[in-house]
Parts: sequence; structure tokens; C-alpha cells
Amino acid sequence: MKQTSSRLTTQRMTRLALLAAAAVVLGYIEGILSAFMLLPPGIKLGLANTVLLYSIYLLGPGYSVILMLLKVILTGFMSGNLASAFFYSMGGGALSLLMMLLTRSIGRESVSIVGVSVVGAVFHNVGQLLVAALILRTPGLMFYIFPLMIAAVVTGVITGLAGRQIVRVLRIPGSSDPFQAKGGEEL
Amino acid sequence: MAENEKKPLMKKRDLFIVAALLLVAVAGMAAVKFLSPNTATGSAKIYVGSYVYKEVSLGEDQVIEIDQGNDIVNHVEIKDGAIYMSDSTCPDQQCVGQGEISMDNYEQRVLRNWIVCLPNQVTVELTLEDEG
Repeated sequence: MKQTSSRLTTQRMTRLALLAAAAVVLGYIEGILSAFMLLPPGIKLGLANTVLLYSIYLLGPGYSVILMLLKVILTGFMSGNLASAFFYSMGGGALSLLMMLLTRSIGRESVSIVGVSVVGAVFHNVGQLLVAALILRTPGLMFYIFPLMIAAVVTGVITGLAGRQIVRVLRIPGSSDPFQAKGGEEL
Repeated sequence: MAENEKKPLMKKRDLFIVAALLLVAVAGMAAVKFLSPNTATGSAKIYVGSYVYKEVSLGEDQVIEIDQGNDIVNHVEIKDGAIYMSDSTCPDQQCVGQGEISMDNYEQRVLRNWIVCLPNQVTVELTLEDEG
């Protein structure tokens, strides 16, 4: 028994590390892509959010919080200016995850993974912009939330559809490993 | 066989969330457009953080250097009635990509009368005023 649980712990740790790495790399690639495409600031696909969707649906809230923190801290270390990048992504990541978990628990049967993803995308931008307005102390910038919201709804639908496929493929229905899957839950 | 049934991509409640968020966004954009001051004054403020670093007139061609030490330097340039970030030491170069603001184009820009360099905390605001 003891052996099983410690084996599981190692497995969980490795899986979390893998997921965190995937999230960081997706975020990094996306950063390069959006700089290359000269998109307006703050607008991006949010590919890394597919990893969080995976963890919200398959691993539960606790592991999702750990993953979000890992992603924010690692991304902070990778960028040149730790402090400001850290606060922006923390603001976005924390508010986004909180709202996704709320949407999921309130919406249970009636809201799918796509709705959860859209809420996450929008509140990621809200969180980042709030932090930016706090740091710069320029409330005049808050108007920018509205164009950002439109972009986030579109990208949220896209990443939500992608997230649904990812969860479908990666889950193992009926698995005895509680870390693997919660059966054939509807997405 | 039920599993093979074609399911809709989104549920009703998802569509409701999407519609509600889009409605808020469009209403917000309309409010910003109609309620915010609508006349450009021809001057602009350059901020470092929340402090006004310099107030400049768009009528006067010049290059303003904002040197915050520690190799954090931005150059704001005014040329032919337009103001823009000509270069910045920030990693993402978003601010340079945001292009120029002039008296005529600010209503069409995504960031309206602003240029923002988040990493270096330098912002440029074309000053707006209410008519009359």
C-alpha cells in the first residue's frame, strides 16, 4: 500500500512537471508568434490555457492552482524583468483560474468546457489589465478591456474546442488511478 | 451508439456566456466612444509609471529620450504631427509596434490615444478634451 501511494506521488509529480513545462513552452511559443504577427498588446491565442483546462477537468482544483503558480513563476524567471512580468501573469492567471473553477462548479451540467475556456480567457485579460492599471496607476487605460474581451471570446472558443479534444484523448475512462480520469464525464 | 451521435460544439449556456460577454464588450466600446472626451488638444503627456515625465506639443518635431537608468531607455519621437515610440529597450517591443498617434487617427486605433510600454512602464497619452 505504502509503495503504491509513493509510486503515485512520483507519478503525480512527474505529470505536474510535464504539464507545467508544456504550459510554459506553449506560452513562450505564443509570445514569439504574437510579437511576430504584431497583434495589439494583450491579444493572444492562450494555448497554455488548454493545459489548465486539462487539469481542471482531470486533476481537480488543487492541482490546477499548483500548475497555475508553477507556470506563472517559471514564466517570470524566463522573462528579463521578473517583477513586472510576474505580477501581470499572476493577476491574469489567478483571476482566470478562479473564474474557470467557479464557472465549472456553478455550471456543472449546463456549461461545457468551451464556456469555461471563454470565461478563463476573458478574465485572464481582465486580471492582467487590472494589474497593469494598478502598477501604472493610469485608470484611463481600462477602456482597453472592451476590445480585449471581444478577442478573448474568440480565442476562448478556439482553445476550449482544442481543450475538449485534448481531454478526450488523454483521459482514461474507468481508470483506477484517481489522478488519471474521472470516468467518461461529459465535456 | 449514443456516443457516436454528433454533439453540438457548444451548449446553450455556453452560447449565453459568449453572447453576454460580447454584449458587455460592444456596449463598453460604444460608451467609450460616445462618453470619452472627443477633441484632441494637440499635446501629449509622456508618463513614467504614474508620473508625468514631460508634456509635449505635436506641432514641434523632436526626439525625447526617457532614460530610467539600469539600461532602461525609451525614445519617443514627434514628426509631422504624429507621436510614436521609435525605440525601446523592452524585450517585447510591443510599444514600437503600436505605431503612431496623430490628431486624426486616434479614434481608429485599438489603443486609441495611448501608446503603452508595460515592461518599461512608459506610456504616451494624446491629451483629449471635451468640446466647449
